[in-house]
Amino acid sequence: MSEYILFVAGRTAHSLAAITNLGRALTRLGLDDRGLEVVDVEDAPDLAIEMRVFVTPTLLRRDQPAAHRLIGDLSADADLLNFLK
Amino acid sequence: MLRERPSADRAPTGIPGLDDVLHGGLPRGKTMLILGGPGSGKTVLGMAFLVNGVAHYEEPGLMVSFEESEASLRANVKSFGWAHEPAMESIVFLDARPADDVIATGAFDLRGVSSIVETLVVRHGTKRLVFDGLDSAFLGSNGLAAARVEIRRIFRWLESLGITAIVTAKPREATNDGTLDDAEFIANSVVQLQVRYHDRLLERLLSVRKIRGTSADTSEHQMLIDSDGVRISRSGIFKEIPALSDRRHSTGVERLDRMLDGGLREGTVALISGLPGTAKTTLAASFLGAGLRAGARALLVAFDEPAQQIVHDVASVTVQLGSYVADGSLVLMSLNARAATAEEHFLHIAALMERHRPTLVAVDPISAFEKAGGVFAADVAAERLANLFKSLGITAVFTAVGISALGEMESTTSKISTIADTWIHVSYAVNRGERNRTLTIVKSRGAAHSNQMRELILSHAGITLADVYAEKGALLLGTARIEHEYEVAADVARREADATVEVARIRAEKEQAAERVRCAERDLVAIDQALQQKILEYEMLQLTTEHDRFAIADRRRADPVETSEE
Repeated sequence: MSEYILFVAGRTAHSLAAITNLGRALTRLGLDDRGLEVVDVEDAPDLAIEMRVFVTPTLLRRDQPAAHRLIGDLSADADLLNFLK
Repeated sequence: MLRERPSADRAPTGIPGLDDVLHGGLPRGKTMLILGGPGSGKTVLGMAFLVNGVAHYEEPGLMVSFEESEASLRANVKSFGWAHEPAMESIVFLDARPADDVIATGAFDLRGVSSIVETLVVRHGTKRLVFDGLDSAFLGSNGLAAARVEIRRIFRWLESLGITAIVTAKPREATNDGTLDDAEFIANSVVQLQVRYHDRLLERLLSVRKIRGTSADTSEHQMLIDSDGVRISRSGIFKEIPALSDRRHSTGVERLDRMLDGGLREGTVALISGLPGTAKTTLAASFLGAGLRAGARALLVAFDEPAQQIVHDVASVTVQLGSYVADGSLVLMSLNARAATAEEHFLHIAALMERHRPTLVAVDPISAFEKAGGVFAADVAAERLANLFKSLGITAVFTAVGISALGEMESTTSKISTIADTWIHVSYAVNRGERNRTLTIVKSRGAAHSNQMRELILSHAGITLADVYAEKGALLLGTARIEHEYEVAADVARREADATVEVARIRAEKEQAAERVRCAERDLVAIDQALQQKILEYEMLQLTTEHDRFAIADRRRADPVETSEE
């Protein structure tokens, strides 16, 4: 099971930017992307309901979906690196 | 006026007054933007739209809230009657508030919401949708441009869904950014809610800024939120009045009914004006009492004193209303004039009318509207109330404090007097140190009526009218009237007595005359006897004299006298 889920919505600019930014951060931290699952809300609305994902992109931990999450295109490097630590 | 549009074009909100303002309801399949600050009632408006959709139009609703939890929303509308309806339970809630512990890392969109809503719409067959507090969805957003792009997307997406939607948001002044500027252009219709204090009273106003494709009524309308939910009072619009019937409703004062050619005409409004204490309230209560006795349903709206007090007070002049309150045919409504705007009072009364459906109404006094604050003038509210009653075919009596029938009076009274079909003025006449009530029918539209002044008398025997005498240009009332009546009576009595005395006197005279006749007859008899006696004595005397003459002649041997009978 992946540790993180990144919710995106189709191939929007925000979604693509978030995927790119997240990949870059994982590389920087020496992590591979096996711990990451990318979910398109349009394909999995029920999961979005369950995890209360209203905003895309949303990055959250699978084990604590409500507690702590990042939203946006993950362009704030410091916040992203902090989150992944 | 706008042409009636086919109902297929409109989704009625079911909110009293709002559908009139919106020419039938929300444009079907379109999105309306409702802008309003905190406490302006936009959430309540949205909820009412959904609840009524389920309850009255079989249109399932979905509430997407960006500001409040489901529990908080339900709690907030719990005070309304409709909150307990099953309709409320069938509304699908989506708590779309941003998570607490969230960090925004650049531009985002609400496509999560879009996907979820699309899924729920299909799953529940949603026909009505509310996005409540959309501006709050962008809290923490550090990209205004991205937010504006997203707002535009959401409105286009909503329209593509083909369901009737309301998006609520705080206005520009409250958010202090331009997030929703585009929305006002994109939205099919825009409604603005405002809250302001007027004379220290909270006043909610609703205005339609636009409805695409129609000319909107852009005036400000008052919005009332109370235990019945939400209602809109459409400004400046009067309802059509049905044709009048010939039926008459008794005033409960027989002689007044006669003066009014049978009573108050059904479906008309009567004004009873006069100073405090002139028995305006008593007359109004008497009118209700007469109707209630005949089986009508009635409403008594009391402004200055508790309605229950009026019921108690009028019992002393034989107007008994207590039993009708007990059996529910008379509903009492006590309002504190200063506690709300005139328009709000109007709305409260209108709401009660819908529930109770009376055929007779008394408002005591209508001039209390003047004490109520509000941008809507008291006379306008009074006029609208009169219009409401007439449109429902209700026979109503308004009392009003006025100085005189012809001179200076409160402006509400003045205004109402022009729209009232019947105008009864009661006043005091001070005469010989006492005050007496007088009653005059100033006008009675379309009916023959007496224009004579009457004295109004309240007593334990009830309410009665008495004739008023004019004497040397002054009216005789109260004691003066009674004295006058006594004087007239005394005069008759005196003349009667005089006649009796005269008859007795003449009778006595006749008696005396008869007595004199009897005396005279007795005298006659006596005199006659005396006469006979005298005649007898005379004859005796003659005989004696003759005898004596013979005797003398004998003695003188004279010849017999020729005249002798021998």
